[in-house]
Amino acid sequence: MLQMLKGIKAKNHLESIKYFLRYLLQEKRVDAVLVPKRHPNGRSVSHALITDPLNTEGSDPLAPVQTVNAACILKELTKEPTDKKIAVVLRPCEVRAAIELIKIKQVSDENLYMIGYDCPGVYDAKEYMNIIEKEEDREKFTLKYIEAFLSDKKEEIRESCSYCMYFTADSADINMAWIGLNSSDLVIGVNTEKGKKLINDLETEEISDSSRRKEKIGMISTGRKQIQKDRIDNFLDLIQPCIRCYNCREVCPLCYCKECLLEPEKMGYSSVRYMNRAIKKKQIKMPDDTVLYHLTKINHMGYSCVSCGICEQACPMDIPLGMIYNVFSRKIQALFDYVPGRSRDEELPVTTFREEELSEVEDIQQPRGK
Amino acid sequence: MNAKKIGSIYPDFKNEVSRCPGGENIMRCFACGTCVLSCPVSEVTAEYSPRRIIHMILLGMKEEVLGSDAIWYCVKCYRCHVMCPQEVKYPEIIRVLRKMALEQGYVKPLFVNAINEIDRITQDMRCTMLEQIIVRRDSITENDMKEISKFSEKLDY
Amino acid sequence: MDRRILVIGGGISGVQAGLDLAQMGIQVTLVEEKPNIGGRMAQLDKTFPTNDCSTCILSPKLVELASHSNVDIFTCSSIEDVVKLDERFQARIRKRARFVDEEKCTACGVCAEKCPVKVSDLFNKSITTSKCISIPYAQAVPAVYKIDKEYCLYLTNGKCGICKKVCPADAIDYEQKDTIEAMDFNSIIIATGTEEFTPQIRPEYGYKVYENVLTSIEYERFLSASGPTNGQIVRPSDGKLPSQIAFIQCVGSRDVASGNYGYCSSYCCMQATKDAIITKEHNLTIDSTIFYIDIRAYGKDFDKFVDRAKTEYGVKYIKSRISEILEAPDTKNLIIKYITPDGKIRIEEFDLVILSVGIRIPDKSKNLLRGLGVELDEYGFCRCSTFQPGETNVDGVYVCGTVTGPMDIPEAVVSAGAAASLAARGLLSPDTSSEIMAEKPGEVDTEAKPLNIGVIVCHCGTNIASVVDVPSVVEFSRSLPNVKFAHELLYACSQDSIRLIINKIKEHDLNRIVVASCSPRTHESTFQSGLEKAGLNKYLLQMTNIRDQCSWVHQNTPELATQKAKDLVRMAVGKSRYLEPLYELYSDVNKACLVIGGGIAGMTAALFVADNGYQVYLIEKESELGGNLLKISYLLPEEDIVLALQRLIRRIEEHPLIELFLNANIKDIKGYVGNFTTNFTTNDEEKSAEHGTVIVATGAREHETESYGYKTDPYVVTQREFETVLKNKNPLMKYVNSIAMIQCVDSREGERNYCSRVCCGQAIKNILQLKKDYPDKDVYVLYRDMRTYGLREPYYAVAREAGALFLRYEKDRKPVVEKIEQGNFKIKLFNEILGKDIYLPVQLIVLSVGIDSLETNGQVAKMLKVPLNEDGFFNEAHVKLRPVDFSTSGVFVCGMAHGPKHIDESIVQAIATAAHALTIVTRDKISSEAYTASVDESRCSGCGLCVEVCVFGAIEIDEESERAGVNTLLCKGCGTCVAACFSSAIDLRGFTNKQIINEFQELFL
Repeated sequence: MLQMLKGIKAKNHLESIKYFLRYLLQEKRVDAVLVPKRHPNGRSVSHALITDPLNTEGSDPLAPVQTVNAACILKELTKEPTDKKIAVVLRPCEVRAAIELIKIKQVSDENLYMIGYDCPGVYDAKEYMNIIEKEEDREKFTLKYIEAFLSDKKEEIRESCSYCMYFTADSADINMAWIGLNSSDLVIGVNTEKGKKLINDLETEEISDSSRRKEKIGMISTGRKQIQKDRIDNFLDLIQPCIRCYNCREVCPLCYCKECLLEPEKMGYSSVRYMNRAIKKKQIKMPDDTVLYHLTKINHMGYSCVSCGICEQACPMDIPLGMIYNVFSRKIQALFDYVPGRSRDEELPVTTFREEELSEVEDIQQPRGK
Repeated sequence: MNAKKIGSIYPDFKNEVSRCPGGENIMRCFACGTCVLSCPVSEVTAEYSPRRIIHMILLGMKEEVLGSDAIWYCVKCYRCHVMCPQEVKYPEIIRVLRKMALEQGYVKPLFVNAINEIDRITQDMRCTMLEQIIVRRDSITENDMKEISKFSEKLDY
Repeated sequence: MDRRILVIGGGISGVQAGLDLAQMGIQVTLVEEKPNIGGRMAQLDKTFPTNDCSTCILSPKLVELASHSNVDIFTCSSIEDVVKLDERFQARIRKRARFVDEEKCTACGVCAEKCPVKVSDLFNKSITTSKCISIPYAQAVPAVYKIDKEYCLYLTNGKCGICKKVCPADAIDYEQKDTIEAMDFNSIIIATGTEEFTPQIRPEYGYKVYENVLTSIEYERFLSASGPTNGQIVRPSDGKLPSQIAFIQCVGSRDVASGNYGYCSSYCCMQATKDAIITKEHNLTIDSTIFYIDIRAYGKDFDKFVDRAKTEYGVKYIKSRISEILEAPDTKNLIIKYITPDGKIRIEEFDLVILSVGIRIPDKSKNLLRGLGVELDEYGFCRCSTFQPGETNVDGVYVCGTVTGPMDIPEAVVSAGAAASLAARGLLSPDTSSEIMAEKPGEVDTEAKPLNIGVIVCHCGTNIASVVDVPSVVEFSRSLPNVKFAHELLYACSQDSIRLIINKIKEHDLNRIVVASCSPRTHESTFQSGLEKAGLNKYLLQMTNIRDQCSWVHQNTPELATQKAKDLVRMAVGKSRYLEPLYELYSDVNKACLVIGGGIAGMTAALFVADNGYQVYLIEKESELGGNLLKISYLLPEEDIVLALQRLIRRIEEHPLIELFLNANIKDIKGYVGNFTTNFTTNDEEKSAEHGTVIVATGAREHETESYGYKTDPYVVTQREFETVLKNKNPLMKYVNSIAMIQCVDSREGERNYCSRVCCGQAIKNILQLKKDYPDKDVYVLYRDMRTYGLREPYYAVAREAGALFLRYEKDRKPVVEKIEQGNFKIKLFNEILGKDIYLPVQLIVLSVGIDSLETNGQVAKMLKVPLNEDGFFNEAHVKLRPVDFSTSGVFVCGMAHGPKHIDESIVQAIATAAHALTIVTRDKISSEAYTASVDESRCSGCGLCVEVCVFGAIEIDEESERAGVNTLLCKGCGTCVAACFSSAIDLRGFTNKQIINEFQELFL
């Protein structure tokens, strides 16, 4: 059930978000807030860990740009136990990645409050920089962007956002909703006990009719579903440009190994091996094992991949990694009826075994009949 | 207690049957249906089911059982008896039921005589017909088959 | 004094009893009539409800038994006579001549290949033929051939002698005679088992008359990949694939008319279900129909298995006992007449009919048992009393397996454990027990030395050498880097070959040995002992299988086979370069046992452990012992339950080795096998106990229902409450003339989709008590399937004869209770036999509510790191062969904590857990595996995936370092964690990533 926070009357939705964050700090509900913030003069937006309420000015979680998947920051923030409470403002894909990381003990949410929000999608980070340079008022640009989103004007958002099906943060502790609602109010969905505690001092009013929101969400989803690809026919061609820079690995929130076994030195190959292989196969591509690298990464990430698309943004060779992961991981996840980040209680597919699962795969392996 | 009746139900009916010689094993029945499948009468008369009759006795449906046509259908071939895994002895039970039906006025003695006579005649007729057909066993024609079928039409009186 | 026990019968129950005893350190002599052990289970294709391959799970047990130093196996043997002298038994064992020397035979099979005489293959139910000198199946134990003297040309008329000529091991001995050996035993366990009915007792089914009518065990052989058709399902008449198969249940069972077989054989409903499923898995085009009287899916997860058969595999279940089978003379199809649920008669043709034959005690076993003075019941079973399962009327003679009544494999295994526990009483004590650890010669330190690899290539007689060019493989081996020595041997496994290997290791200072021969499963230990004798760590051996995986499967392409053999050797050498010495870890064993739960199971387990001289801590959460038994008044067969319970409680309270804690709550259990520490409170006082094993006997409870007006209406009671009504001669009974019992209340559907197993028996028990005290009261039993399995079936017959009326209902047509006034009901029930609703006027309604697992099981499971099934009962390590164990060593389960069961079943399980606990506490030290997982802390991210996937509970994340750590004593080296770890932070010793990568790089070079 969605609730409107009474007493927050701001001129626009962004203002009310800022008001809310300021309130959290002022009232010492939390010790710090992590939120994307515009640089006063810079061209981009980056996360700030804010402890002074006044510093919430300039926060802009809705700005259509994602420079990092913030779940990565949570890894850093919770490496060691701390008693400082932090409210983290996250995009839905960041919430989902964070939940996956909680399951594999890379993030501890003991003192985190995850505040999600309806995500309008983002531009490619470089493109955003180019656009924003020409804009006078960058806050206004964000608001304009949201207006356009709500009025279904097609914006050139990042491809991986264009088919994203999880643009509301239903698994965060609380989510700030605006799609299909009066945009200047701060409307909050409370999803966990922790979330309830965070706002228990605030006066709220239940929103009884959210049918318009549901309708709007349904409409967007239907449109996006059609864009999704179901198969990749030219995988080898697509990854051919890979230069093995490992950017995709570095930015991926879910790659969590301390040492990546896919680096050549970890594989322990001898120089002779390269020669032998080259002799046997007439020629080999160098650096080699790019296919192995990508397939293994898909194999490792597939069931947890939240399709945030940050890998695609990071790729210097413009390989459509977001699309590749989206297609592969959706298939893997469907096999296990698993949606990463949907719920903290959902067990990772690799840790559970149910007799009936993967019967489709068995069928493929053992042709029955004659 | 003997005449105990609840609604149309005589709960003691099964005991009445089991006390009669031949009816001792009635309550052994676990309704597996072997009797129905082995019964030559059930084969031609779908409504006839030895299992149902036993079940009705167990349920105490005395009037329905003793007044039913079904208990007169049995030809006492004993196939059900041979195949029954629980030795319920259905043909013996039928004997008990017919005796009861007669004694308790559900049918008249002449009716029983008539049934017995039908049984005797059908056997007799079967033998006669068999004799006729056996002699010509190597030269049976389509016409013979027609004649035999015609005979069954005649039976509908 | 020698502690030796005689086990008669080498089926699964005899094998399990033998193993349990051997592991307690007791000498075992196992006598088996047939040439090999394994019994009926070896003939089965798969096992329900998991569809595990039967041979695959059985073989390791057989091998383990046969190779155990405490066990002597006499095959082809029988008991001549037994005399009891001074509390000991002297038995004379006749060993019939095999005409093959068991010591020399290597089971190479050359003899059978050349033998000119074909005989009927009894193992395959005579469906096919075998040679006159034969072994029943490839994995047979002992793997020794045997000559059938009836048909052998040499033994019958002195001609032939081919097998002797061709045997490379010189194992054939035509002069072998029967021998008789007399031995002394402390006690005897009889596990002679049962035989199948010969279906000819029901001639109307046409067995042996119609070609396409098979028995269930024959069909198992057809399904088996090692069977006569290599797992192809074919009709015997024309070899064609059938499309419609019928299974006919209760052939010989529940049949008093064709013999004295009034009991239910217990396993056949599930066997038919399993076979129908496997049939579908073999071939999607085959449809199966099962004709039954009652589906007896009473075991754990059995109903779910039947549901799967129906919904996933389209198996049809028709409740209709088949009266006869007719054969269509032209097609040899079989014509079956059956009744539909609405009473219509249908005729259907099937291509193949399987008769689900039950089991009976063979006359031979009856004679053996009677000869020992053992009393048998009317069917020839040695039925035990509820409170003394496994015990006979003769002191020192115990029984297990189907000798005591029809049962399925897990029950047989459990009863075997119980018999072992019983037979071992008085033979164990903490003072005498100690595992003798073999002295090992000082090991050579290989670390600093350069690699010196030795390669042995085996001919295996002609098995390998007739296909693979062995000399060229040897030559090739010599060319490989680091190989200092390569040699070929006719039989690498023979004693003189091993001696040669030892000498060569010393002579050439070899420190890695590669043996290219057969399977490590059978021969690794032979070569390892050679390495040990030469002073090498035995894990510096690498085998590669150039027989099963090369010469046998590539007979027609010898050149390619030779090439493959070379590849395999190169791979093995590649891996061997990275082999490291491995060591088992040893850990002290705390001799005490913790028993959780003071119900019948917990008390029994506690007593059996304590009676053998070991300390027991018994923890009960209530203020008194007894559990569910306190609420039970009657038993079937009749026994004084109150007296039995009182005796048991007194023995517990007085036992010097049992420390009892009432009102106790466990706070935590830490540690692992041999070394547990448990903190608990008793009467609010904090306590702590140290122990080496844990027996979980937490029990279960009666389900609380709200159906049929229970809770609001005093005239609606549960079976257990009704029992009390009867016991107290409650005045209520004055006003009651007729009673309706409703079975399966809230059971076998929805959230409780399981059978509570005991309710049908409970209903029957109460009916018999009712009819005893109030013969004139009418009782109706409204049931879905009557599940009076095994020897409970005759009581069902008695209940019917006492006048109880059994009326069936379907799950979706439940009886409807209408309350007319207080204590007066009208029940509407659709009667399928009459084809209409009937109305039953009753004054009392008795509900069979079944059994629920305890909510607290979850906490116990978490503390012990053991799993629960979806119904909340504890999940054993393996449903068939490890029914009272957990994957986690040192923790056992018995009683209703494991699943609903009858009292006698709980007791027998409890005794079995005691046996298994004893196999641990009788040892001074326990050892780990050598192949165990180890964590590279620098790579570990502490994600915990390995913890989740480890079924043995061997991995934990260290709270301090946030890194995974493996408890080597619990690790079984399965490698699941290695596969789960994305970071490659876990390695399996003996199968490290480095070793495997190098092995494969050799292949892909």
